[in-house]
Amino acid sequence: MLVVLLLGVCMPLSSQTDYKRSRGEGLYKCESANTVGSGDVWVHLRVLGFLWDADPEAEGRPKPYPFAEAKLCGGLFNIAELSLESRALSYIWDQKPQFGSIVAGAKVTTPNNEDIRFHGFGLEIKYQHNFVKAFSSIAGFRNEGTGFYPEGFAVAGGTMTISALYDLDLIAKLSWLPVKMYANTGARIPFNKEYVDYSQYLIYLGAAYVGLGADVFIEYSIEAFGNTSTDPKKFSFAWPGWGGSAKTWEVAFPENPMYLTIGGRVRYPSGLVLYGAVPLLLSQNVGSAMTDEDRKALSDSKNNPNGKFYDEWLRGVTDPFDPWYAKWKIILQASFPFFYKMTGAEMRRNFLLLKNRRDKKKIDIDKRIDLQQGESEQDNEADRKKRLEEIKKRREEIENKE
Amino acid sequence: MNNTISVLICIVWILCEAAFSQTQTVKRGRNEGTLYIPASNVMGNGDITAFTGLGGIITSEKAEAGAEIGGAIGIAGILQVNLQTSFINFNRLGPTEAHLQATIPGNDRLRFFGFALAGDLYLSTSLDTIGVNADSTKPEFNPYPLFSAIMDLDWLSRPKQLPLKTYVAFGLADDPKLLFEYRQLSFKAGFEVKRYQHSLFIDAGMGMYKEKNNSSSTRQTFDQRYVWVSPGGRYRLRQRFSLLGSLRWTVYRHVDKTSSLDPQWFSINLKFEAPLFFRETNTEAIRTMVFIEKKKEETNKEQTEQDIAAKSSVLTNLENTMSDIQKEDETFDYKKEKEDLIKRREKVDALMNEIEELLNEDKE
Repeated sequence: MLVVLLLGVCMPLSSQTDYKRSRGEGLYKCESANTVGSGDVWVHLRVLGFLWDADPEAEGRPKPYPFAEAKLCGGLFNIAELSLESRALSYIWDQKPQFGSIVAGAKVTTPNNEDIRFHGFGLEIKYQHNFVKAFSSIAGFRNEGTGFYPEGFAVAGGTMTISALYDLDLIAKLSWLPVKMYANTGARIPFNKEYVDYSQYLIYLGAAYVGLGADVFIEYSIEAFGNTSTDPKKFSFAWPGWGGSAKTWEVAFPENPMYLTIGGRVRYPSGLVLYGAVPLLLSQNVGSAMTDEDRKALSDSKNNPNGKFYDEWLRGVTDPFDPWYAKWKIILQASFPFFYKMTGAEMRRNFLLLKNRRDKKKIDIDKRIDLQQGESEQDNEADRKKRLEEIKKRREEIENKE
Repeated sequence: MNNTISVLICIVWILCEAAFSQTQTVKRGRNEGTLYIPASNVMGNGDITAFTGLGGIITSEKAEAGAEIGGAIGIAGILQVNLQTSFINFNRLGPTEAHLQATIPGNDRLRFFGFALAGDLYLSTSLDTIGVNADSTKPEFNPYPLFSAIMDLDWLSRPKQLPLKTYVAFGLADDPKLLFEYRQLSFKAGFEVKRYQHSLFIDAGMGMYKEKNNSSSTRQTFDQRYVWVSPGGRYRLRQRFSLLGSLRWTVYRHVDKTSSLDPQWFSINLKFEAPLFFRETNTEAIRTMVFIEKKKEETNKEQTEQDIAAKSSVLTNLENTMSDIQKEDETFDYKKEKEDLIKRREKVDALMNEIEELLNEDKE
């Protein structure tokens, strides 16, 4: 992937200034309400990594978690988009890499997307099948592939995600302000009936400065457990790995996975788009934490009104929980179009961006030297011809005299 | 890990060779500074530079080697993103950093005063077991969003055209590995003699440390500090790759004996920078022209001592270039260039507005 990426960047560039931009470009979690152009096919290759926990067998060294993902997006009938993505390399277990997941998605948008639109609405449905069998979990709260991953809660097998998408493209009204806002809201529902109660609602909000060759963005995302009240969501399981004993723990609203992501992308006229993002965890602990001290305090609170976590004990909590998710992640992505035809909307965006660009006159040293060398060579050639003509004239004069 | 780094270096080298095999002039990045302080200027839009480094440090208690690898990309002419990670003793992941540097306008000309603010994101790879919700069974690797500021003066832009650049920098991180344990302040200053290709520099700095509240210690002031100096240089290979090297000594150290803080006494650093995608910026083009002009003046001085007839017949291409530059007399005439640009811009703007109106009519 690195070689492909570098080759794409180092490729000699033409004088083309029409950057190939995808109409359906989103942020990290935020999806655009728009779709990629009809017949266009984009490929996205992504690597993602974070540190989490420590490796006891390697003298407590940080344990890196690297993942590899690929996504294919194709536009259909100008208002629809089909996508297929996969986490090909997922959590390593017993020193063996596992295949992660496959996601198939379909997105439709309102049929007014031929030009840049101020308001954009869309709907997306995704089916995800999670193949992970085992993983390093938060506090061991895991039943095979289901449980609390360092990235959040996930369920093994099938999950359906339905999202409503909206974006506000300010450049449509104010051509000097190339800012785009994104808002997605949806629900992730497991097919396994045992876990339906642990469905999550999703809210992703983002803002991006969409430039001619580069974008920068900021995004907020939350994947929260649905609750009918403001009380924490209670989990109570006796999963096989725990020897039959039941555990009860609570996840308060601030303990849901919440990330603030900053990132950007750079486009090259060859079509290559390089993308980088860093999500930073915002979740905060409420109540008992998963430290030895709090575990003991929770245990001591049993039948003890003066106990530090007596209220939790009253609610039946047996084990503490805190948002020990990955504190940060790094995401790098290379995208390029296999089939591409510029859409009217993006052609207009390029035009407006070019129109408002304050470009400066470039001084090209190489060209100057080349030009000078060229002129010098031309002068020499002209001198030679002139001298030759003079010699010929003199020769003719001498011959005439003779 | 060593093999990975070697392979990466080889790939970068081969691609660079292939991509830039027809270089004529020096490929000098606008962001080039000393080893410890980057210039306030940012790289040209879309330009990409990859770098890798090797180093070793000696402290009171240990000797450690390390490697780093990373890249930088220029965005929109006034922003630059740097990403880098390091490997301690070549087998353990060290600090990973992302920096977003924004500079003040005037970035694309040879400015005397430059200033930049950077958002520095340190993604800690140190096992934090002393945080509020952390313990030895549940280490945390927290991100630390901080900031830094850089100011530089480019004396080449002054009438005397001294090839000197001076830097001052302030930041909230001195040693990213210790951010989970200490609040930090970092002050740095640098002098660089910046020649056409190569340069020599000397940096000096001070790191100040205060233990964090969650530490068992009660020290609450930046009373632990050390001062260092570091001479070094930049050697340009094949007019485009840069090899930087420096030695660093700690000249003053005040560290509490009961503290775990152990700043380095001595270090050696080598860094290799390769532009993967490069477009000449006006700033560095002007710098190159100043050097060419100076060279021409020197050449003229020498030639007046020689035979005038011989001199006139051996005009070099370089001199021709300079004659052209002098004849045109426009390279440094910003007013004229600006007026021309404004006129052209007005014409283009008028045409584009007409097109936009037509498009809007069509849309309605």
